[in-house]
Amino acid sequence: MKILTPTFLTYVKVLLIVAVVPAIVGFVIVLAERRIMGFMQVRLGPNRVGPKGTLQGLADLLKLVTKEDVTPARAEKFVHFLAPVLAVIPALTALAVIPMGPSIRLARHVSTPLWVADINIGLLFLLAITSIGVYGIILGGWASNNKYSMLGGLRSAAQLVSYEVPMGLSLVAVLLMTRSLSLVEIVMRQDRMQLWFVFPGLLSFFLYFVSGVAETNRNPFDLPEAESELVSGFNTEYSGVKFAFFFLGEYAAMIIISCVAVTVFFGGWLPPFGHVKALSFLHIVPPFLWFLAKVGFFIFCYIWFRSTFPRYRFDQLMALGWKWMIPLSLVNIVIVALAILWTPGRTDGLVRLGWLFGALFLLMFFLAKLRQALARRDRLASEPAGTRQSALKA
Amino acid sequence: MSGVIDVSVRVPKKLTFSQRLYLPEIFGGLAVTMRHLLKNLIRIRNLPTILYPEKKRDYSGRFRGKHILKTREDGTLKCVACYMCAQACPADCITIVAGEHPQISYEKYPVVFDIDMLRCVYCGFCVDACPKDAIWMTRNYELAFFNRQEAVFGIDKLREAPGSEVKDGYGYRPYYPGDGTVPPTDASTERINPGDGERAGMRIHGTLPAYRPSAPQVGGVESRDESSEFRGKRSLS
Ligand code: SF4
Ligand code: SF4
Repeated sequence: MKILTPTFLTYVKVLLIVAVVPAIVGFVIVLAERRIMGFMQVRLGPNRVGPKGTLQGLADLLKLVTKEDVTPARAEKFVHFLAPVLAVIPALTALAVIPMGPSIRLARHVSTPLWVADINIGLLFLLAITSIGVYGIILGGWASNNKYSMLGGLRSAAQLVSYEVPMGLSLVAVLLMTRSLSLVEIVMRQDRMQLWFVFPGLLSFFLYFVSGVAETNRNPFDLPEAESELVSGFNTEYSGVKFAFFFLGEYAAMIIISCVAVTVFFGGWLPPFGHVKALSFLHIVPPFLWFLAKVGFFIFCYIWFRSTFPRYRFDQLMALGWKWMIPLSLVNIVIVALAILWTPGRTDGLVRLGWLFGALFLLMFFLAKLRQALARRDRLASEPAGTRQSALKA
Repeated sequence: MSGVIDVSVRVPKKLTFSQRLYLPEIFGGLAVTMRHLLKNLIRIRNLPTILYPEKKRDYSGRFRGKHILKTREDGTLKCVACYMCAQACPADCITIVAGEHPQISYEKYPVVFDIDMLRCVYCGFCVDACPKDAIWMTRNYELAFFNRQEAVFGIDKLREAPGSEVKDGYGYRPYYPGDGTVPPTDASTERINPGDGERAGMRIHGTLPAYRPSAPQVGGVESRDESSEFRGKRSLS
């Protein structure tokens, strides 16, 4: 088995990522998104192409590829071409450092880890490379020579600048726990500490994921492509394959955000409660599948958010970013740091912090529920008898 | 109090405590969509979506679809080319060219009777206007064309083929109580419940009996209106 050298295997893995991720985006995620959103909105979603609509991705692909690729007459030709490429490549590049599973054995003496590269600045690399993706959007908006596109690009720039900060800061809190930027090491450490970082880092995770949704320009933060205001935002002047690239870039960015959320907060490829003896049967499932399932869940969350929340107004978006997310993430760093100092060298402090977060969350929830119930009772009492009945009948 | 206009003022509702906490409402919203997802996944047949080309909603007997030109017992058009319908038409989409009818009591007949289906607003005024009850409407709403010329329906497409079934049945039409005919059903009696979607009980296309006029129809006499000599002269304005 001379051929299975590490270098060769790396090439294979890179090729797999480049080939498989777009396919997954086109055939699985988009279809899932459209059908799930359909069901959430009490309709069927695409169900015509292939059994139950499973080949919809193929139809969409054919449509996008055969469409005319229009470049506006007065557009900046080269930048107009460059922008969609810039949107896709960084997102695919970032996948290189995502650890998708521990080593697997290919042959007798050959085993390979399920990541392309484990670099010691992994997380930093991720943040850096994914923020290049926004250049695609900004340049695309600028190069189209279209006011709407321009506004979309500008919005995207402002949004990115605002939400990179809480995203980075929320990850800093995790770095305090891991003391490593290597994503593999982060997962290993969660294994050793027998603790997923989402537990003490509930607030971090929350901040991270909200900023992540904002980073990927997805609802409710999809202002750069707000249809009701900006036609289609930065991609107004794009069609055909270039549009497909933007599309792919957006979904690849979603995958990245989900992958990082899983790796940093949800133990990467580790099964849940892997250290509890009674649940050791969970180890039967291959680690890669655990990883995939978790990432799938976060993609589902993206879809779920999209069909639930209306879009923010731009000032609300900025207010949320600067007045809430950034201060909260700073406070969060202090809290996590204090919890680490509470019991130096051990994880007890972090566990206690986790319980505290959980308790606070539940308390708030029950308070809100209580308050809601009281309000409903008051409303029912204040209404004249029978109004509700007749309203129901009408 | 003359001169004072009573304007209703909308005071925004004060947010409750839980609403101001923001997060519970967010999770509440997520719960709503999740509930819908699960409910609709489990009971997919209850979705109100009708899978259109296979299954069709049965519209009311007063549905205003494609027009139909009624014929006499000998198969000629009832229309006497009086231009009433063209006059009544708000969309100005009826083009009639009159010819002299050999039978003196009819005086006139339409040599050309065109309705531009793209301009028609399906208001049914032409049906109301017609003194001869010569123009009715059907429930056929599947009017798709490849070009604008095709959208102009001439007599060949509008006249009722004697003896053959009217596609989708008659829709909006004149009705005189007491003449022994069945009144067109009112839309309100044809209630379609939300959730009828893919259920077995859904009204499948054509289950309602098509309306049949009391007079028996006698089949095909070749009438002069098929002649094409005036075709070249008609204006499509
Ligand atoms: S339905 Fe109305 S618009 Fe259409 S032809 Fe008759 S009168 Fe004109
Ligand atoms: S109103 Fe009736 S009779 Fe007169 S032209 Fe129109 S269809 Fe013919």
